[in-house]
Amino acid sequence: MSAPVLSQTGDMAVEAREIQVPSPRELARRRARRHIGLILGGAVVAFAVFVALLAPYLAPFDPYDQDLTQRLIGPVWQDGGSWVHPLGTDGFGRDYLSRLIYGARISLLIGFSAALIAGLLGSTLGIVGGYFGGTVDAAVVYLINVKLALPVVLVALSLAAIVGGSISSLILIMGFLTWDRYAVVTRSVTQQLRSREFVLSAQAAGASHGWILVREILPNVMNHIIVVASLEIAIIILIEAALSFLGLGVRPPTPSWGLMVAEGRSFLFFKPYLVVIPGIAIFLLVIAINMAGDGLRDVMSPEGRE
Amino acid sequence: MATLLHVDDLSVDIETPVGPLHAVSKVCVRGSSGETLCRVGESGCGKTMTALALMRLLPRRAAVRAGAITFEGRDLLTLSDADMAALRGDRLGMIFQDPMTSLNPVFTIGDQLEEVYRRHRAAGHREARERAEYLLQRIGIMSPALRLSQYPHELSGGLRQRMMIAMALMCGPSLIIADEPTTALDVTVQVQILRLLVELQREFRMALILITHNLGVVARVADQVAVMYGGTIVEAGRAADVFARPTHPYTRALLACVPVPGRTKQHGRLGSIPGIVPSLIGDVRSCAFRNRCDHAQPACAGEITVHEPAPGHAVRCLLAATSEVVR
Repeated sequence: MSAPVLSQTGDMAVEAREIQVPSPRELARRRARRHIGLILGGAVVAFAVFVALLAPYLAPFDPYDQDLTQRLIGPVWQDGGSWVHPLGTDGFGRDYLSRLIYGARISLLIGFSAALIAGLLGSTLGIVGGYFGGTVDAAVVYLINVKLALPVVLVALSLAAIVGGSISSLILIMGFLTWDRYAVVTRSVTQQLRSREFVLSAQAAGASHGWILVREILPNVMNHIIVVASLEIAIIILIEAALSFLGLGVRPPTPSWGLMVAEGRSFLFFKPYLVVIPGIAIFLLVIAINMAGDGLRDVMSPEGRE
Repeated sequence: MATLLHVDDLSVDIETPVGPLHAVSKVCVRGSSGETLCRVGESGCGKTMTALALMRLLPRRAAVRAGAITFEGRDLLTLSDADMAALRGDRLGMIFQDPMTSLNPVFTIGDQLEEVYRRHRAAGHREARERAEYLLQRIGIMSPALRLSQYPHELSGGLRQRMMIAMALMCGPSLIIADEPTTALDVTVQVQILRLLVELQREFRMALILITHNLGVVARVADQVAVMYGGTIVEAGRAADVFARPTHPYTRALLACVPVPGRTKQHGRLGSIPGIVPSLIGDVRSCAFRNRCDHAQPACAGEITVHEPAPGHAVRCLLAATSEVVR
């Protein structure tokens, strides 16, 4: 294809060069490069993931190692602090920086795993309901409504109290309590896609329902699922911290940020850094994930948002 | 010539809160290989419904009844869903109206073309790609490899519709149903696409069912014409007969709406048909056109039988009973 051709024959005219339209992916990439919230949030999340993955190499001490001779040493910027324990030590003499680093693992593990379970569950329900409609859809809508009527924290609290707060049970509880938004979003998107002609056209080409759901619908819904997931992860991390703080989440001595806040509570007046440091960590991670998720939505589906 | 497609008394009813809607009633189709059948009519007259019923792509809510639907000697009414799916895209191709939404935006053209072939032929990626490139060359695409690697949004409407045609041809079907394939395109591109369809149909000796509301199109390419109104065929026959001696008032009214270069006077009025398409709920044995017809008589409200002013030329109108054609 070279310069535009003006020609009588139809085929030449068709082959004449078209205006170069950037692909949706390329457009998204361009918008992403200019989106400060996405860049900042993404950087913080990436840093947290990096720290969590390399925790054994980055942490100066074993987070479980107690040393009662080194109790309650302040962080470097306070009197008595030293670079041996940059963030000080807690009531059992454990290195606070190491616990913070290992705590990132717990928060991210629970956040991502629970979001994965919820995403699978909610998206399946939403896509199936939106695609088949009728009774199937009515059943899905019923399930969504039931779920929406459940107070998440309260139910999570009582379930954690019943089955005990291991990490895997927390993941399962959260996974089964936060699938509703995926279902609502994928259902409405699927309903729109379903009436597009490429679905009918795939059917006319002999595709089965299962094939259409997985190969035609799912790739078109994926963007939306990712955006919902990024926002849900932040919520799950917050709930995990709340449960751990209330003593119904992760069990001590596992270093969870919520648990660290709870343990620091008894020293709140004299050693406030014990509460403030993990509190800041939770705050930063959650706001970063929210910014990144919000940015993803702006970048991927900017329609109707200013 | 052996009959490829044989449809007898096809009816489609859709249940609505105010009673059954007779979207299609008692439609017959007969097609042989190499033949072009055109179905003409305005929006909502049941053209698309007929096609979707043939493909068994209507939602379950729509009740399809027929005396017989046979295709290549197989009874489509009793075929299992899996066998029907195996037939679609393989022996039966379909092209839709809007090429903008008929292609999945997240896959390349090549992926979508290959998919059809690999599903029905159990062929590998390479073989399917070769077939796709060959077909694109056949339909006059200059750089097939480039086109196959592009996404739908990178192509113009005309090119996309060509890709849809190529997709329908991937498995070498014996029947192609094209549902208003040119409606969403520019006028200049319309002619190209239509010419291409007819050329391919002759070359591959397929039967083509062309659904359109453009009579100019029909006159150019059709072997058989069926004019539909209100879910029924009001006039059918060989294209030459129908255009030479249009008998049903609706057919004549439609023809009066088409400007003909040279014949239509410069400041003369184009024909128009007063009134609107009637509701299809309720009784449909009477003439659906009688409220808009200049020749309507009280008897039009009764049951209308089919008359044949010439062999093979069927008209569902009382006027056709008098052998003399009203001019």
